[in-house]
Amino acid sequence: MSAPAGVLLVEDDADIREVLMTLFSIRGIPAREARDGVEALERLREGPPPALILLDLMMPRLDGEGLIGALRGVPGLATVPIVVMSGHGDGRARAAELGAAGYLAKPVEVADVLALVARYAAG
Amino acid sequence: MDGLQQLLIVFAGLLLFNAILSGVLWARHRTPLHRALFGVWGMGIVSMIAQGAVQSDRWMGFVFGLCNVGMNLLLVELVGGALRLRRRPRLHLTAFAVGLVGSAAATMAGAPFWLRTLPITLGSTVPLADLVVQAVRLPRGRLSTTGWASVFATSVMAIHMLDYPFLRDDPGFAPLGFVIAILAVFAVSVTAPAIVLEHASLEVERLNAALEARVAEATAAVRARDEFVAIAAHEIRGPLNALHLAVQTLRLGADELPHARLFDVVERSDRRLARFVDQLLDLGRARSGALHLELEPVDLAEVVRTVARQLDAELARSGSALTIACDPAVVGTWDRFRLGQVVDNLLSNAIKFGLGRPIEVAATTQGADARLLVIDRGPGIPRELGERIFDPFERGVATRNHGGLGLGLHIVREIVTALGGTIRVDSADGAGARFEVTLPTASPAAEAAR
Repeated sequence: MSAPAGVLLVEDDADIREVLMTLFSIRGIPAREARDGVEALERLREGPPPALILLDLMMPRLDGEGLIGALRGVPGLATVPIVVMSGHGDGRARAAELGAAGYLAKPVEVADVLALVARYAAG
Repeated sequence: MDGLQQLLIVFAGLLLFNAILSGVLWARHRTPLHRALFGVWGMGIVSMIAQGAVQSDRWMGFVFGLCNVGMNLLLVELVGGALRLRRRPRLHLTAFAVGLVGSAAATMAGAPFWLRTLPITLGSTVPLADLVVQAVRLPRGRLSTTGWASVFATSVMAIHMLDYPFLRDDPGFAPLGFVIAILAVFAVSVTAPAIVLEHASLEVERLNAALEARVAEATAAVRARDEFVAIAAHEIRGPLNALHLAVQTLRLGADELPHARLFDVVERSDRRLARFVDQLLDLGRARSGALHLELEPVDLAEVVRTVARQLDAELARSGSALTIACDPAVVGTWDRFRLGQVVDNLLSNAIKFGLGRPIEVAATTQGADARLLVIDRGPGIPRELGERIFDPFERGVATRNHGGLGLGLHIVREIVTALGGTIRVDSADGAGARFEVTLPTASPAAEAAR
């Protein structure tokens, strides 16, 4: 099993995805994107596991919670830290419930994203 | 005192008791039914007194007849009102007047008892009979048991009226006449208050049901408003988040910054927000009927091509392949901007929900109408939703997982209707959706004149 690398971004809003991927790119962080849970699982099957998963909790076609459940069942992926992003007020509580490593409240701040990435997916 | 007089006293006592009681109730509950009830007994008492005096003065028979008519008219008002039957005052008063004239004439002419009393009792029976006939013709289940009991009481009263001229004075049949009279009075005594009570209970039930309906409406409206606010906030946050991130990333001032791409995001966010505001305003306008149309000759095919070009970027990102099949020109008298909105909304939906599968748009002329088709192969619309998908805020998907206020299709329908056309959707769960808009090519004003 190859070493975990980079970030997997799971977010349905195309513009948010574009900016975050641009951000990762200019900071030299390898990143992959998925627009929903189904695509996320596809990406995870195609390559080394990511070092960090950034997951939007409100998405169609397999929501964030469903994805986390699916992930926990996959060997090698169960230990990948997941940080959830949510616009709802209860995000922090739900993050704790889901066993997420962290929580980002929307609107997400670039500084917070970079700090998280530095912590989990540096180099 | 002979048995007849004893019976009369019992009668009188019963009527008096009923009259006093109903008088008290009327004073307490000032409703028309209570008043009618009191009237029935009041008149009944007067008629009893007149009845007693008939022997000494033949005009008393006339007074007695009058009171009976009055009593029966009030009984009809009571029962008819409680059972919500049709009132026919003209018929009743005509019968009464004819009876009155007939009896008066007979009394003046010194006719025998039965001839003096028959016209007015007939006049009195007509309203009773009308009520019974109406009741009997009602659909099954329309009247309650109490209702039927009061109709029965009314029938007995009618029989009593009819037999009176003949049985009253005939010693052989007088007892039968009295038995019928007693039966009639008892029946009315029991059923009249019962239907007043039932009527009052039903009124309360009706009011409660109306109140509950209002409360449910209000609760639903509040819930809808709350959901609307939540969704609106979500719709605004999307572009705002992207904008926020883009601006912050630009400020990083990194050398290899792809400025163009980030500025594109800024611009798109701007457009998304503006579009959302427009949707909100349109919703307000559509609701207040202020959808103002600027009519001019418009080519639908051209509009379709223009909108497809505008949505090119979104199409590319979704991965859907778009097929356009239009007649060379599909011209009609429409509002160019609003028509563009219709095409834009339908096509945007197809892109949003099309799952990246092929989308077809077709604009053709069909006789005096133009037809626009937008077909996608996405998950389709659940059958339970049906036509409700055109209602405001109806989004066809679970609330939490999809953006959008669900205004697009509502606005589309409002515009199509304002242009004199129709829209329908064919969809099966899982098999995509096919939207068909039919618009008359003539102007709506000309259509209305047709």
